[in-house]
Amino acid sequence: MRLFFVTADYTFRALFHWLRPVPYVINRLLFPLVQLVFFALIGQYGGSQSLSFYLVGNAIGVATLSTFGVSQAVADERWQGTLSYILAAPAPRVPIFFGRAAYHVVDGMLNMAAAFALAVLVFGLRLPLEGVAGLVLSMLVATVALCGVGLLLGAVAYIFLDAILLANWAMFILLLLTGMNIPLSELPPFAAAIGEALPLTRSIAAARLYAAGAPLDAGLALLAADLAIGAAYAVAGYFVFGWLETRSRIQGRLEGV
Amino acid sequence: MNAIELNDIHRTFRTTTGTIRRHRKDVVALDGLSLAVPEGELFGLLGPNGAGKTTTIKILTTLLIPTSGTGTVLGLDVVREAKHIRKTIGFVFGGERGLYYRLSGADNLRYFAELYAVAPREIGPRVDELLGLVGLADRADERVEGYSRGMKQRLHLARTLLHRPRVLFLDEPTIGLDPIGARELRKIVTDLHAQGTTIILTTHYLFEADAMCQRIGVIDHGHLVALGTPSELKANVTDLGVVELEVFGVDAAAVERLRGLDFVDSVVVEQRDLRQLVRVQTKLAEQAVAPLLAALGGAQVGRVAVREATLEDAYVRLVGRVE
Amino acid sequence: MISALRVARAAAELQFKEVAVSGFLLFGALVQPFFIGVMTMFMLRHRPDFDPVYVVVGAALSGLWSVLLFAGSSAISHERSLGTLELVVASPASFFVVYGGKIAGTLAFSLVSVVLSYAIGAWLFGYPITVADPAGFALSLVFALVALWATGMLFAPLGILWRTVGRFLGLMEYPIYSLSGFLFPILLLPVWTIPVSYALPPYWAAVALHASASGELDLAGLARVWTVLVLTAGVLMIISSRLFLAVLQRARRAGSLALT
Repeated sequence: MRLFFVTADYTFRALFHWLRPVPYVINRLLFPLVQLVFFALIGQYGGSQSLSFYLVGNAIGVATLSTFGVSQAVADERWQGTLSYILAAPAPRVPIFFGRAAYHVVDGMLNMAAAFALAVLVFGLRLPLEGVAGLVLSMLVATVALCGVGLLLGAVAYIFLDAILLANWAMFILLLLTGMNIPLSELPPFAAAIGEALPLTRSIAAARLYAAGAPLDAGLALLAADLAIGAAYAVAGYFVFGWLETRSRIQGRLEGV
Repeated sequence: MNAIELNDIHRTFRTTTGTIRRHRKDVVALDGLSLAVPEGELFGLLGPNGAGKTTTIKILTTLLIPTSGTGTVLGLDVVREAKHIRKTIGFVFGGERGLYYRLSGADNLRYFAELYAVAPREIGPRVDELLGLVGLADRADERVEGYSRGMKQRLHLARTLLHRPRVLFLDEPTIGLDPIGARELRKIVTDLHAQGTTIILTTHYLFEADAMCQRIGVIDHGHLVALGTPSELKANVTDLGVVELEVFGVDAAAVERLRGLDFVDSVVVEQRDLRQLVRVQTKLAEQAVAPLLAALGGAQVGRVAVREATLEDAYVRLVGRVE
Repeated sequence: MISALRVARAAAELQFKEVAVSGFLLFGALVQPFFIGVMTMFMLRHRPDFDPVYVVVGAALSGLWSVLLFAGSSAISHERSLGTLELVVASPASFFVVYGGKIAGTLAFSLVSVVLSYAIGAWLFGYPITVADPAGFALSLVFALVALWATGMLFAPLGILWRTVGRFLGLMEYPIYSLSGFLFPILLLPVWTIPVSYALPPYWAAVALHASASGELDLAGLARVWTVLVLTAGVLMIISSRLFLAVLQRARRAGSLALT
């Protein structure tokens, strides 16, 4: 457990060392907000769903940046050449990686909070008091589940050697297929099926329920399912890492360059 | 007319350090440098790292504006008439960078030919001619990213000759080249000089400067410390002999003892793998060997050689160190 | 003059080759407009006055802008990291002309977004994609590209002055899409942003293209928009050429042309 917190703290400090406050504000807070504004306004123009549909969807969708964050963290480790040292260390892997993810969960929560604040203050989104707990829970589940995707992406990025491009693809696929802006029912069947297999879809659905005032237990099943899907991705990522590590020990190449 | 003229050039750089609290620091690169090189001369510019050689070259190639002082190239002011100067000079800073690695060698040359306004009909033949000159004709259509360091250096040289410059600045042109490649490059340079091109050369290879340059200027700490023909510079050290001692495991104390001897002019220690080469400049030559060995104390000594001073020794005497 | 055109053409060719193999820029030109275009199609198609051409044009513009933004702003830093910036500045060719050629090459590459957006509308969704005023549309595209080119010329002085400009420019995608009315009318934005939109060349480019595609404006109306585009381009050219000189002098004074 201690390893978990130590790693999270190190991640935070290591990142903060070459990130000054201003870029942090700009990249981590402003960027998701401008994306939200853009799609919310298109949604408003299109009028096929309520404004609240788009606002909640995009606000939760801001969690996709966590995906970015985690796979970037993995890529940075590789880039800085430290990954081989971490993998060579005797400490168990799981706490280490979850320690890193913890930072991004907090980061994701902050982003989403900012997004909801924007939605409420600027767009006039009404959030019922009884739904707030459920919303916060949805936010948490969304970020945690997406970290699983981030881990898988980080592992896959080893093969394709471009974590940023991969994360960009992931962000847009999530944008399109998780119901952020288009109800799954409107998508062609194969696309909707992919959407069902992605994390975030159910968190968004749950969040929309809570935003409409549903009681907490209304969305729990959805959230639990989302968490499970996210965990499945994380496990897949873990195995891919293991496979890559074995392969690289045979081939003598870990850093992938 | 002088090819280049520098009058009391000062150049200071302002750097900032620190991420949270920024400190401003002024670094003086050139501290009153004055120099004149007549047209048609092959001039060598020597000096330790950080002495100001690159800064001087950058001012002359119009990439840098002096903080104070004036400079001209072929009578044109380096600050105000930069555009005209650029048509008549060429330069090679060399190294791995400075080329479009996704393009072929020939395409790189063609692009720069356009930038240098080489007449369209002339570009093809000129590129071919230069590729032949530097020995890259058979690799011309390969992407530069596959070139070795030596090949890139040769391509740089070809690039700089596209527009037939009157003045050529070469910054360590043979560095990184194998001995044969270096010799070929030197031949190209001397041939160009024979055709009337003014050449300003910086190098760390003193034998190269000795062999090629008509005159040499030594820069240290931002100003000239010596100027003259290689013979004139060597004359400064004709009184000196040099004792070279190959030592295994000499320590700082022993070196200080050597320096303390009154017949010793300077001591330079060069690390060569497991040995150190201790070069002692002294007026005594052979007679110095015994007292030197005594002063070294218990260090194990291999080869001992006594020789006359070379240009390199003159250089060491001027700047006090070997780089 | 002729030699300036030759330099510009050579620079454009070089830039086109460089960006065409950049995975990052291919993403900006093809993948991103694809997702944005598809999403917007779904989101807008329930409108009673839905016009698929509107989405096609808007998605194409988003691709054009993104490529211009990233390739244009990184052209300088890319040269700096290659080590060629010094060489280009020290050549007799005007750096303004070289960079102008690079921006032109960038825009030529970005036109692939137009093809992609058309493909989304016509093939993926199966809509008939025709413009109401083909001649007007073609001219609008020309003037739009000129105005965008002039906008791109401003990125260079910024890139030389501040080396970390790329980080902040990355934010300028969605705000410009929004303020320029690529995919929704700017009337949806707060009133105080309207003057900002009016000051943006991409806005007028979008107006001209949307209006000629839908037939909303007649020739006279289009001509007025074209005039704005040309005038804006002219003003930006003057500003950027002055800035270029000032910035290059500053770089020569500070010695920052070679730093990565």
